[in-house]
Amino acid sequence: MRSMIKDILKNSGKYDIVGEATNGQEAVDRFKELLPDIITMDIVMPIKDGIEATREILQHDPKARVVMCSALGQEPLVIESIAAGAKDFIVKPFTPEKVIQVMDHVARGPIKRQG
Amino acid sequence: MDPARYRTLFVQETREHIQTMSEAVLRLIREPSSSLYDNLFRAAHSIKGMAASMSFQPLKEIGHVMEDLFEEIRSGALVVNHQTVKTLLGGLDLMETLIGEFEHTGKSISPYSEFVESVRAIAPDARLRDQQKAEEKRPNLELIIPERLQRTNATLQEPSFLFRVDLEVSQSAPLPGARALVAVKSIEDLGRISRLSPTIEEIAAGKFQSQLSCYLVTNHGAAELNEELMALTDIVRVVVTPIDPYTRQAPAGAPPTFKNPMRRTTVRVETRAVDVVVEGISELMILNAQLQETLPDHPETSRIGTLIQQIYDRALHLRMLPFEALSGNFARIVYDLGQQLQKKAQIVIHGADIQMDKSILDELADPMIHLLRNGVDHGIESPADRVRREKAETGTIRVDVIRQGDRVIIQIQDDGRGLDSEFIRKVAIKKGLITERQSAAMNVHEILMLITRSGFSTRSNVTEVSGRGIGLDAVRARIESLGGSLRIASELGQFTRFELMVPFTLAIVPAVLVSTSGRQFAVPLSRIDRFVRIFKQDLHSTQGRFVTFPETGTLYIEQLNHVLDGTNATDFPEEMPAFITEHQSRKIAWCVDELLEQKQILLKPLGEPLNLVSCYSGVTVLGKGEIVPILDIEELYRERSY
Repeated sequence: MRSMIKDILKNSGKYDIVGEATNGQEAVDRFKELLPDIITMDIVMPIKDGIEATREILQHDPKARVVMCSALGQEPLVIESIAAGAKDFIVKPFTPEKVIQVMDHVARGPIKRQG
Repeated sequence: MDPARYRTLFVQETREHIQTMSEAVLRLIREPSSSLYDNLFRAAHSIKGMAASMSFQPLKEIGHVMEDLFEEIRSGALVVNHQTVKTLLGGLDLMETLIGEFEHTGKSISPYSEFVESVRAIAPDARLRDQQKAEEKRPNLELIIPERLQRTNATLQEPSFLFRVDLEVSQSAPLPGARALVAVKSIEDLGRISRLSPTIEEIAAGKFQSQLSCYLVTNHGAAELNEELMALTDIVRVVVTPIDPYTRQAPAGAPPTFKNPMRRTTVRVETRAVDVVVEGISELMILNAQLQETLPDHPETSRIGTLIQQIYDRALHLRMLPFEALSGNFARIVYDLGQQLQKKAQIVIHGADIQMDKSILDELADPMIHLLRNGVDHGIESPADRVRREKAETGTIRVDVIRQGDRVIIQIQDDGRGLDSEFIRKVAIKKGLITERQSAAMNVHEILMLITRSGFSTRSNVTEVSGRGIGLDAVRARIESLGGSLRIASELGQFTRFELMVPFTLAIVPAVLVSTSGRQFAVPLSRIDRFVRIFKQDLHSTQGRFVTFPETGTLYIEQLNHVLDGTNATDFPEEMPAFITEHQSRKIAWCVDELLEQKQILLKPLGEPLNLVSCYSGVTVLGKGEIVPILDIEELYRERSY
């Protein structure tokens, strides 16, 4: 999963991979260290799951942009993640176009509010 | 509310309802049907409701007892005989008299209590029933427009706008609920959200279907919002409707707040009044097109253009009603039919909030009801049969409404016995609708479509419910006359699905401009099958008509200028471009001098006395002000006796 997303992002030429993590705790630690623009996060991970990791990351930086990666059967978990503050999600099996579309949207962020 | 302002409207509508009821009562004697009862109930109920809000007690009471009478008749407690009809018509006459008195004096003069009592005498237990009935909501095909929103106190200091945002998630989206939530979050980033439907809780509980709506107070413009939301993954439709066009004014004095921004009331207007507005704006658009040509580079010109387009779009929306306005009584119809036929049937409707033009909805009423009947009567099996086939005892009719570009697709699917294409093929051959040889070249869909040909009925025992083979052909004709199409799919023993595809508005349609003998005509694109070139060498002459025999069957050839002039073509040029239409299974290639261009045209109906000219369904006006007639293809078929 991780290497697939990594390849898709790399091949797009738009994104650089600054770091990787193998579980939720590592994800939080690496985030604090690297402060990436976007984090892609599996929901189910050992030690600390993706939802909890997302919460902690957002506590550290409310502006962090987390994109969840999930399987088809995990809708309730994805909803929980979004409610927790994840910006968007990708569903397996995914196509490179879909992944890039989601990433581009998250990268661009919302239009600035006036005033 | 000032009742006097609405008096004219009230009087006029009441008269319309009385008229509807008179016609329905008379038909009741000949052929009682549930749609007839629905019309009667709806009309009586509307009158009752309107009279109540106008505080016109006599009419309210009569409307009430008329409803009771209809209920008695429908339930079979009261037989439709000469006496009953006399009472009913007497009631309608009395209503007519009273509304006339009300119109001129604002009150009633004629006594009415005698009538009410006479009805009570024959419909004694009605009081009990109407307790339950009061709970029931009756659909009412009215045009409802949000009135200017009232606003008090506010927190937003910048000029802000209020929009209704409607969003549709793609049918193919994985995890639609999560997708919806992302959308909600994105909307929240744009302003203040309220009246979210479904709510976050509902979405989280997995209750999201495919559509989402909410109100949004924001300082972004509609176009900006639209663009922003369309950029979201798996969102197929975004409609941003300005709720209050006047908010562009910066608030004066104390900063306004939005404590109660959603106090929405409605005003009721005649459809005709909206049409007049739309028509006026259409004229403006034509003038604007001319202006663009005269002053193409003037900055004000393009601003005017944009503004007119916006107003036009908004005005078209005033004519829109959700499908719900039509489907409100479907459940009742299906239930009643099930009862009548000793079957168990239910209906599930998806996409009832999809909006479409009121005139199209009106036209869809009969075909829809016919197809529902068809589903219950011919499709769904008896409960015993269903159990034997290991199906749920209760049959389901599923109605899906889907918006696709400028069209609306309505699917009506029953999980009943399905259609036997082989059987249909045999019957069609036996009835002489097709030959054995023709049938061999037909695919399954073409075979299934044979059931929509007039004179086709596979049922030996004609049932009271679905009539006798007249019907599906009428359904098809109606849909085609709307510029739509009908398709049928089926799996034997599993399901039958009718798919109606209709335009969502009739006011603007894509059309093709053609020219013949130096004159221009427009043909709605929806009526055209395809474009071809006809060569003289391929033609055969038979009984005064030219025909060719391409692989797809017989193709009749007509030269448009001769048809319109009523002259007979004796000769044919070497080669002519043509457009092919199909109507009642006959294909005709209409030859013209030139196929000019395809464009969106505004339909303008012909007023009297021009509407007496057949062959034209209306006119359109092009940018430079030329008036181009729109061909009425069905009339042309008739003209040439096909």
